[in-house]
Amino acid sequence: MTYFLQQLLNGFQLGSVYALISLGYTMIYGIIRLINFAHGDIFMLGAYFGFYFLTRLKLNFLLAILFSMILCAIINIIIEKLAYAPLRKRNVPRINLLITAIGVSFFLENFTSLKIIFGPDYQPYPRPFKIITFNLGNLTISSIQIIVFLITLFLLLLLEYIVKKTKIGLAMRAVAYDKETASLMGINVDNIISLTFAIGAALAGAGGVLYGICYPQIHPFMGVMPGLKAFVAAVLGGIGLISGAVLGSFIIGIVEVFTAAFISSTFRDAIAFAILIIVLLTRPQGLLGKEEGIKL
Amino acid sequence: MINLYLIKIFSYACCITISALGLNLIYGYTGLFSLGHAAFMGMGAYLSALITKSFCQYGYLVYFLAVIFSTIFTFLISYLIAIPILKLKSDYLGIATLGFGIIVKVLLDNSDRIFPQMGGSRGMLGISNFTNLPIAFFSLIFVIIIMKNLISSKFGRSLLAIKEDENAAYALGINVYKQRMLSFALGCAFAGFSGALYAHLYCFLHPSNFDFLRSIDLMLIIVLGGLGSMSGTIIAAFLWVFILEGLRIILPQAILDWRLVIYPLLLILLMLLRPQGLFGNKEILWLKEKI
Amino acid sequence: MLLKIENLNKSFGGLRAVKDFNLVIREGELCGLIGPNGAGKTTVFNLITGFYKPDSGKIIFNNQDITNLLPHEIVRLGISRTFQNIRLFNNLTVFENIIFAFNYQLDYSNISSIFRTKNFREKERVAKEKAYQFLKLFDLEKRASLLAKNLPYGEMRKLEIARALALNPKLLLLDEPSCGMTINETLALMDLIKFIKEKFNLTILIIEHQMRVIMGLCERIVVMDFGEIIAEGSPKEIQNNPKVIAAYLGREYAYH
Repeated sequence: MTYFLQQLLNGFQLGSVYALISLGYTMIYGIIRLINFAHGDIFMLGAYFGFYFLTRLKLNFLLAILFSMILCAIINIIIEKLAYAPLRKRNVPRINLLITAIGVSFFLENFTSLKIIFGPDYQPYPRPFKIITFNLGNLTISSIQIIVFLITLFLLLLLEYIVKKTKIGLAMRAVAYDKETASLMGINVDNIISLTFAIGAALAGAGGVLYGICYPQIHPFMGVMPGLKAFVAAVLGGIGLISGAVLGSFIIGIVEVFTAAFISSTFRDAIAFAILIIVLLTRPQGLLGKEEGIKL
Repeated sequence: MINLYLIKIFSYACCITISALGLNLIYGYTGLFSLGHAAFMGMGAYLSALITKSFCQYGYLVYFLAVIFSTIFTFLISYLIAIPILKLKSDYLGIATLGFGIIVKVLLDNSDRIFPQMGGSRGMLGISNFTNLPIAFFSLIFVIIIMKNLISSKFGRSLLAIKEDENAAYALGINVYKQRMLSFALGCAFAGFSGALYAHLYCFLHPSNFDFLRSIDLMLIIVLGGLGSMSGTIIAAFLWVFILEGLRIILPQAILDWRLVIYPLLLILLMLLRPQGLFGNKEILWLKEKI
Repeated sequence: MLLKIENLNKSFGGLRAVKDFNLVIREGELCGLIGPNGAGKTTVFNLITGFYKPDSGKIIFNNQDITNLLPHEIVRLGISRTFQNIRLFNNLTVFENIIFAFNYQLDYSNISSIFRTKNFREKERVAKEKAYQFLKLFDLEKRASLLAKNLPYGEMRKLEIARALALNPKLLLLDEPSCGMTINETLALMDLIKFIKEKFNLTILIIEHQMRVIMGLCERIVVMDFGEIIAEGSPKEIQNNPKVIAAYLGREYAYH
């Protein structure tokens, strides 16, 4: 029983990181229908930025996360303006946008691997605070887990506040619902899209730093699998829905940890996609999604 | 030495082209967004290799039978998979096929638990080198002829109609569901066929040869060539193979890693400058007569 | 009796789009289906042609129960339709649009396509001939290689009707064919409809808003409102029916 609860905690920890990545995927898909393959690599960049802030600049842990988030947001805005916006303007078919996202992803991964940049090897991650463990009965909770939960929770609540209670959030929801009409209402659609990219990147960046702290090895291709799984999580919960991304991420995180713990660690990657396929065949709009009707 | 190397690359390009033509049929022509194409190559590759390794005493005969058998097997499996999966809408279909591809890779990684000769994540060795240049080249010609003949017939028309407007296609008496399944299975069969050829070309198989990155490579090729254009796919596939290899040769050792940085930048540039790909949806030469 | 619809019902969520719909169409009739917007007319078409499944009721065509058949199966039994918002294959040529309609009638196998057998080549040649003849019949053969989306609006409608006819139907369903047309185009359309009914020996069910077309073409008119039939009869009877007048609130009379 204790083992079960212990793994549940681990699952929540992984799920939290996935949630931070997943939100970016779901928001960007919701607003421009793009599966942003490069998103997992923003996550990777966040981890690396955090690494440099923590080791070279010896910054305080929270500041490191904050600056990582800001840097990631800026980079994503630049990418959006350079690579995606020009294509969107010209009304190219969506597959081209996807290919561009893939190109950006490959570029970020391989550029980061260059020896003069970060290098291709695994980089051990610092633990910037003391690791204390608490005992709740037979359960061991580490301060890492608590901090990850708290930071994730804080960011989720912040996002919820922005989206539901601010005018900008309203604009974001309007653009996601119907771009053209939103622009007719005086909303600067391009700016909102850039903002969405920025927020998504900031969250992913935070996720990167947290991931580095939890699983202290980073490398340029670390974003590939978590990115894919976070995307699966977004689809599982209902793509385009923030609550869906969060729900899906925790489910995927917990299932993955359980698979590794109780079945076999080799199948941990496959299980997420097996769930995905089952969901797509039975309820493609996701757990929290609404069915779309077709007008003839 | 250089000649042998070039021959191998050319044969490899033929294999990739066959696979890409399959994906062109599935996505370029029928509009089915499949991101798991390489997994079907892997099926064809591993199955044919298993057969030839188990019956290696029969030489070329077993090779031909193995290739044919793997192709048919891939056709059947993909047909079965298509039954539930093709009910999904475009983006979801892409995600589902992506997931399928990853599952196949994980299964291949663990294959040595059931079939030790498959080597799992260590890779499968010792496959006989049956595929030579004439075989690869004429297989490609063979595939091109089949595809061209199918496309300039009622089958190709029904696919075009389905891609243009599914409901109008129904209203024309076209069994949309069945045609999609056929197109998908056929395209995947070509992938299986190319995988079987590939296995006996480089004689070493590893699950990472057929992961989703490879599926994405194939998708890139058909977009770069121009969706729905066979000529575009063929030329793009050859260019892709030769440019990637070419970069490996011309770049000095010190900046060899930049090859993988330049390649995506070129990709992004191409998307910005010529989004319809090399050929748009036009064909050249003999491939021209469409319907 | 070519088409018999019995107690057809269809709801979308809480909205009852079609309520207890009963209709009999005899062979050779030209029947009109009219009613205010949202009355459920196109839904009836979609139900007949298999694009929607009814909640209850039966549709019998040529003594065969077609209620639960798929759209392409229904086409092959002899019902074809046009769409309110013209669903041509816009990025394909006029010729391609027509020849695609001959597809299901071509009975060679895919294997023969691959091997280009004599059977295949003969059937293809005949189909292409027929397609050209068809275009000539509708005065569209000069437009053959034009992309459908580049046709003038009136000719797009004509092409869609031609395409529906290429399917060799016994029953033709036309959904607001005069939508968006000028007076002259409408008159030409009416002549076209009379012509094709003669030439192809058709039974036609037509949804229309323009009273000119309905009164000028139809022998029998069915009026719908809120999913139900509120009146049925000859043009004269319908014109004087108080329920019909009430449903339209006299709006359509402006077209007279």
